[in-house]
Amino acid sequence: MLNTLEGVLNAIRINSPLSRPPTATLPALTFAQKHMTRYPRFRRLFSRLGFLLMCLWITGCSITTPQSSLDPKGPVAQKQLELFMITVWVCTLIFVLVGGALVWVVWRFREKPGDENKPMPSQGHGNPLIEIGLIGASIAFLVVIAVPTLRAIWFTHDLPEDQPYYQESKLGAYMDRGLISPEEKDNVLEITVRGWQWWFSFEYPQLGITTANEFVIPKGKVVKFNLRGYDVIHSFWLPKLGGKVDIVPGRKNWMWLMAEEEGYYFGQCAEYCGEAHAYMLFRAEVVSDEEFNDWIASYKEGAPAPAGFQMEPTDETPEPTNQDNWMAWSMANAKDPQSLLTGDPSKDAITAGAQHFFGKGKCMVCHAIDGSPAAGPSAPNLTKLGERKSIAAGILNQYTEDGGLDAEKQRENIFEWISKSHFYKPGNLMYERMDAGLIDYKYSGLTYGAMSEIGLTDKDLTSAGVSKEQLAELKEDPNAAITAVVSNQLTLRHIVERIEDNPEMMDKLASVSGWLTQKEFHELTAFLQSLK
Amino acid sequence: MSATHVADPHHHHAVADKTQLAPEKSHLGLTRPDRHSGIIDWLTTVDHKKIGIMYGAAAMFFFLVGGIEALLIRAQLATSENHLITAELYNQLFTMHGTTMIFLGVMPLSAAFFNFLVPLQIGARDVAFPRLNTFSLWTFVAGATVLNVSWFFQFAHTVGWFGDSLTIMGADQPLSQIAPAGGWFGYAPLTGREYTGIGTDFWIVGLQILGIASLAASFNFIVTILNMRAPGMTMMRLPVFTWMTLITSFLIIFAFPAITIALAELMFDRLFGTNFFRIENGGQPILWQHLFWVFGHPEVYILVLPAMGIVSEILPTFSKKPLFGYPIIVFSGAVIGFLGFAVWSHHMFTTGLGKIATAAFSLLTMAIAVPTGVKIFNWMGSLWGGRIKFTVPMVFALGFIWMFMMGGFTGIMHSSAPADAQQQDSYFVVAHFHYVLLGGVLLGLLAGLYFWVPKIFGRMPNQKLGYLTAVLVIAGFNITFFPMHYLGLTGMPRRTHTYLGDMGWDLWNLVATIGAFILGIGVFLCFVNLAWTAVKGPKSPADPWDGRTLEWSTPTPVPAYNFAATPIVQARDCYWVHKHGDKKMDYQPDDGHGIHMPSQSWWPLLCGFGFALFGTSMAFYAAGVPFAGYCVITGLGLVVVGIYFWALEGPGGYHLEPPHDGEAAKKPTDSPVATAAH
Repeated sequence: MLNTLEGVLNAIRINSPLSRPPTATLPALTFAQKHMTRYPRFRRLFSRLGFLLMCLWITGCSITTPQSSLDPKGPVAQKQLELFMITVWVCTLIFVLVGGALVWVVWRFREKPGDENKPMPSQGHGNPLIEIGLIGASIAFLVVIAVPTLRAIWFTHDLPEDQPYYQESKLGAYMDRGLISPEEKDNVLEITVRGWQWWFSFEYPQLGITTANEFVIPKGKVVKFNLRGYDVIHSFWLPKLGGKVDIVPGRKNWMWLMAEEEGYYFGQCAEYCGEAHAYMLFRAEVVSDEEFNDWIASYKEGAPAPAGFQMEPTDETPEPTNQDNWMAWSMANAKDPQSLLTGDPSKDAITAGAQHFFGKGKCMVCHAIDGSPAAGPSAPNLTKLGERKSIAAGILNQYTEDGGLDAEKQRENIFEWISKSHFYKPGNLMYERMDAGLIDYKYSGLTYGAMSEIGLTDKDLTSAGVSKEQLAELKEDPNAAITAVVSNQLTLRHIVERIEDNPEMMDKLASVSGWLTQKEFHELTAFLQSLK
Repeated sequence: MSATHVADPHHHHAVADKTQLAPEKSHLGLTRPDRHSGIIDWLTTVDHKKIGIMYGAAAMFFFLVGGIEALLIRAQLATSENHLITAELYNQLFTMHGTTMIFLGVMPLSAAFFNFLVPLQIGARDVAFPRLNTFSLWTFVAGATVLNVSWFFQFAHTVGWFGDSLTIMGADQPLSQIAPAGGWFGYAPLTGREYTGIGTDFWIVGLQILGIASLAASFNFIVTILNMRAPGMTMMRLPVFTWMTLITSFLIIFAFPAITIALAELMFDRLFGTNFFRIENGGQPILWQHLFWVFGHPEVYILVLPAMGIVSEILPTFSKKPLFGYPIIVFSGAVIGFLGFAVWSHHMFTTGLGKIATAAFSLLTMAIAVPTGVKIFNWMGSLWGGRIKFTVPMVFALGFIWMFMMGGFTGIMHSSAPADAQQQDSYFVVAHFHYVLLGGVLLGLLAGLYFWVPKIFGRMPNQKLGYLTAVLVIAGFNITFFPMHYLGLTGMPRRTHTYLGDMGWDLWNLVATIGAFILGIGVFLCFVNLAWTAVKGPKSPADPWDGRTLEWSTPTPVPAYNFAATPIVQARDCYWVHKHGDKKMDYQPDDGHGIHMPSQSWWPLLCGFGFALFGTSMAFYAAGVPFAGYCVITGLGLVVVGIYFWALEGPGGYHLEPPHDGEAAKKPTDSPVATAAH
């Protein structure tokens, strides 16, 4: 049905007189000429507006956009679209019948000049037979929708055990035996989706890994999603694969989906969940069985130690594993951080970044990197961050047209995100709770002394909205937080913007406040990008 | 009203429209005002017509407020990754837009019609409880104030008017997010203390107060309609608008307790640490959704049914035919109201209801399409064979049918639960309910305004401007909301303050924004037209449209007592039958001592003031602001004092003598149209 729709659109695109240049367009002009010859300017405006609207309509309605439910790539979305199209056709039919009748009635029985003198219209009060007939017809139309609706409810709410693809979807049918325990072989792949303000974590309980905001599933396999919530209500929606199911704290919701095509799929939280709800996106990568097996195996291995650090083999560990490398790196880092630097600037940047991750930045308190000592449970798992095509729950993207990854863009995105996260996702907890931004959100670290130290002049302050009296008060006690004197939120924001726009000032502020400098953020970026 | 006039020296046998009446005194010495002009009259009036006008004025004001909120929302969404307003402000805007339009726009505008029309349509001199009616008005104003005063404090905080005092005073709750941001649906646990600030407290208390206003008004209208009908006005002769008022009032009475309970539980959770919705202590957030939608879905019909009633009055008038299938229209209205209580979970198809509940609510939701369709068929039947005159109200009414029908179709699409899984919480839903509530309800209400304004103000609105506004509103509306179907189907979720540029949503969002501004201009011009009419419009005859129901039989402007003599109703559409048919209206004989009028009262206003103080300080109390608790108690005390003295101020009342210029004054004016038609 949709193919037909696209066919029609294409046909219009090619054959429409509107695709010719505007001067040659207009059979419509004859109408316009007839009625609007007195207003040539309006005529031109009207014909151009009409042309513009038609162009908009034809070019503006692609149904294959990234998050389109009209472009299904799996049986659940397919079933839902088929059902939707049934309702569309039934409603269109009723619309044509009832709407047509309405137009006809209004036109046919309009008052014409001279009607005032005619006798009153017939004063009929109704007709039971017509009423019953129309009620019957309405019910009949609804039954046409109701029957497939019931069938689809059962189809989407139960695992499709009677479908041919279900057998092939069992873990035993496509997973390497080493990756799953034997009792799992007759189960389909399960992913536990956890919704947080404002990001998703994806745990593969049968495979023992957890990722965040981007997950990978095999093509042509039924996947069961367990939806678990802990803070507020979220909703898991991956339109090309299927409709949404809510993530409600205290409820064990689940759904199944299956992707029939490899590719990069776009999803989003669909239940209002607070300030940054619009920024709670996620992605699904659908790959072949082999790629999926490889991905799982390498994820279980964990991220390699920074800058390819290798432990010297000893008698106890003749063949050091990735974990051993990490352990050795950590011990070396604790003993003498300088010893880890090799002189190779690109490698040293990564090493320094890792040192910030475990040291000054305290990132490991919340974040986990599998394989490494970092096992923070409360923020996105970063094991394969370098492979992800988006960051910050899908807000900052580095995917390319052909499905690849733009490393340059990725570096830029990671830097922007970790150094200015509140700008990209206001209210995010990395910034709000951990003060992991350049400036403490509550401005408590921002004293007059600190501000003048980093080069913010009195003039800067007054032009941001600080009054003379306030300035005098600030000067009186240079160690008092600015918020003790200035309460206007806009003024505070202006001051912060002034600092953030100036990397030099940022660095000075970092030295005053003990936070990361721009260079250190770049190093941290290099480390994060190396996680693959 | 008991016959207190017998021995009371303060009662006057005044001439109508004279205002020199001595004030009423009860045995406590309390004075009841009885001025008929000036600000005191408007503040203390118990006249249903003046109360109706005040409801209407307040509703239009809040329509403009809600409209500005909507335009800010649309401006933010005009392009992708826009930074015009912050996420926090956007969330506050859509929360307050929904809350304002539903509770402070559509409901009071419907209430304005209830107040002005119902007594006139049933041949009564006022509602059953005039002071309770005033109480409803001022309580509504109080609730609206509490909700919107949060904007004031939000603004003051943002620009720093109060310095640090607000932040410092909020001992228990940061006083930074002051306007509500939990959505009009206020889903727990997002409305819990951990996630939202005192905006939610303003929202809870404001809605609670509005609920009191709605409940009081509904009881009043039910008693009025059941008990105060003129002789001969049987239930099956009631004008359809009055029928819909009755059904709506019952819906309010049955639906509001659900949200009252939900709001009370939420308030307890926030203030006193109870565990109705708090997960960490075993509460169930899903409970909120059930309670809210048990209210929320009937609320849709509370909004729609009055508009349906209005359209059912306008269509027959301008096709010069009786309503086709009157009993079926009335019955289908009642069925819609009844079924409205059985479909709430279709708002929760994605919450994991399970197969059986999903299937049941799917089918019930489809069932509700049948009585709705019946109404549309019958409206078309009313047009069929008539002589349709395209007056401004008629154009709006026809627009109503068309837009409401389109909203109905997308409603059917939603009823199919698996299809709805894709549409729920997407812009497709936004398009759907705006077709129902704006294309449907607002067009119906605007039709009603253009239809009855000549009776309300005795002046005719500008017709050319009327047609222009109809075109602007209907065109702007469709340009705004039709593209949203497409946006929703291509995956744009609602309640998001921005969207990425590569999602393919830019173009139609821009179109929608342009449409929204056209719509905004249309609605604004409409209100300008009506305001101009009230002051400057040309004088209207008493029956400008060749009306069908009793209100058109009264003189214009309608005297305080409505009917000089109580009419005796002989048929449905009795005034039309009187003019064009064979059954003439008759009037009850004059009993010789004038018309008994109720005195006015200050106490309902005091109650309203008490509620406003109570609500505002309740929110600050929740934030831990010192002394707010005393203000809460003072506010409640004022309410109690108001009700107490209201009960003790005595029945009051005085007599008006309608002008005695022969029988003509009592008899309805025969309009020129009617004479010509004979």
